[in-house]
Amino acid sequence: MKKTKKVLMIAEHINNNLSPVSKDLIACANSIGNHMPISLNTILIGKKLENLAKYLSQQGTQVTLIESDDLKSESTVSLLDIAGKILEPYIRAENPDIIIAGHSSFGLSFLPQLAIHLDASCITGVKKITKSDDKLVYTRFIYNGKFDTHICSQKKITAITVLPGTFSSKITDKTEAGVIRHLKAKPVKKGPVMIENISKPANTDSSLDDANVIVAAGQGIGQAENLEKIRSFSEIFRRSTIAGSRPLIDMGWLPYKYQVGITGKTVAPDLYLACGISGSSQHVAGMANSEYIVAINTDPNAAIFNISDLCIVDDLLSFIDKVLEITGLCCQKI
Amino acid sequence: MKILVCIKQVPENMEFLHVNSQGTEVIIPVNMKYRMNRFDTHAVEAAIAIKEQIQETVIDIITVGPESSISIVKRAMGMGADNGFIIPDDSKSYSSPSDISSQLASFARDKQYDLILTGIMSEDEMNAQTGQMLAARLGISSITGIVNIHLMKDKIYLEREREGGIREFLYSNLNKNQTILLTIQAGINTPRYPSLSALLKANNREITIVQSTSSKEKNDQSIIQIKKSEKLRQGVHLEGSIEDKARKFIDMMKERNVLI
Repeated sequence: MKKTKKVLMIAEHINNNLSPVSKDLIACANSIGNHMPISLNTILIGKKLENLAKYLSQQGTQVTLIESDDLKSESTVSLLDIAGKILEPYIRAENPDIIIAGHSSFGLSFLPQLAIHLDASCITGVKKITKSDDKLVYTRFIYNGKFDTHICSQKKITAITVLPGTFSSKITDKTEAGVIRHLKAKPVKKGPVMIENISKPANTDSSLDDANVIVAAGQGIGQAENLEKIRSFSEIFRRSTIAGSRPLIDMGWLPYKYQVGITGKTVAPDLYLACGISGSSQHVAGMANSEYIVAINTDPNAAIFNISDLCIVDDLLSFIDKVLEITGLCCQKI
Repeated sequence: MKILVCIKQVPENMEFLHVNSQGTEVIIPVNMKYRMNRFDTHAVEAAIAIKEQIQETVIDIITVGPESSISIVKRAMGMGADNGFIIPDDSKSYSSPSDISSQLASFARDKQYDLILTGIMSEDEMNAQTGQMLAARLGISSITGIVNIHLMKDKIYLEREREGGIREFLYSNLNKNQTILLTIQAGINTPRYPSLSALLKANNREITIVQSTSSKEKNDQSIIQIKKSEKLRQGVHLEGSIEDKARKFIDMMKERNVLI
């Protein structure tokens, strides 16, 4: 009989809700479970998280709630800066084979350091797990999503972060609520960086959530003035809105609330039109679950075409002009 | 203030890369130009902005890579950094973040930097690990995803980006005995273009070659295969003239009942 692998997930929460990436952790763990027998344990760090723990425990995982006096309501440190220190003694005692965290600001803030301290191999942005010769093979994007690299860990412990939206999370039937353990963290030595406050989420226009159609612009639109064309293009669709990729937002062409991607919003509209977007994994993670994806790009090798249902290789602005011209004529006929 | 910025070179253009027939490595055309990793240019700019505010700031630049990486070190010096260092690494095989961070740590240890800055990730390997691992090896704090740095009196104020537009506002006393490592997110600033005269001056500066003293550990991970990224959806390609494509596109959108 094969040895059971111990899998430890580090779940995330924000404002007393599980972060969406927690779903991806479970989907990823289940994918490992397809290759070998596993035992699951999920850690939640924080206070008053019993509801979240209960929900997680119905997904087939044991749950460990770790409370830390260093995170009292008047906390002077960010959880991100002490999570690793809180987790380390517990993980040493638990001795897992695989540690899974989200490919998120939280997961990346402590997992690489933990990997060094635990002499683990750290593989970030994992999007697929297969098995070859009895070893797990982790697939991740490199070169902006142009290539996939398949990696094997050479260490006893493997620490991975999961790229959101890449493991299919079919809703499994809820299982009986499993075991929930409560632990109290040892006080940790704090670093020199203190927290002053945390801002509320940017005033998100709910338009991205409500839209059936999202017309998203990337650097391929060339200049900020061309956003007007994207706007006109979006207006031929019902219940539509525009959005942008990270580089576009960084350049200040669109306000932050329109950003789709790993550090922005995660969307799943009926129709997503990627206009001049190269398709970096950072962007794809924010829109991969859209129902139908159309990409318009001049580069036939752009990574965005790997995730598109409809691929249009052509000059973006000329294509939009043509579409507007034709739809304009159609309207006149009526 | 003593600042170290860790940078790396990446191919100027990702379009012309391909994988060798064995599927073991990414082949970069011989005439490919290299440039500084975009996120690292933001880190260099952030260091120079501090130098402009605090007199007697010294900025060191370090890279681990082939000798050709000297040109990005010189560019950083043209932007305003003071000293350049390179740890030569010509190994054909993949160096993991664990490996690179160990080489950087052997350089940075005992140098009493106040700040160590680096880009949040590289555009080629996209690991987003090296900075944090360097901090772990040096036993110092690392704060990831910084989108704002602001100095006032003897304090440094930081803004860290989290998901959904949430920001954490952090601060620390600038203390001689505590190094802080920051990984820099794009959007923090607009990296300057070095002037031609500054570039020429930087070109004549000596770049110090540092032999890594860290013993090359057994690789913590191995690459089994590299290939063109997998198609997650079998996209239909529209063919013909731009007019054909536009008409077909409109028909398809009509079928999906999404047009006004």
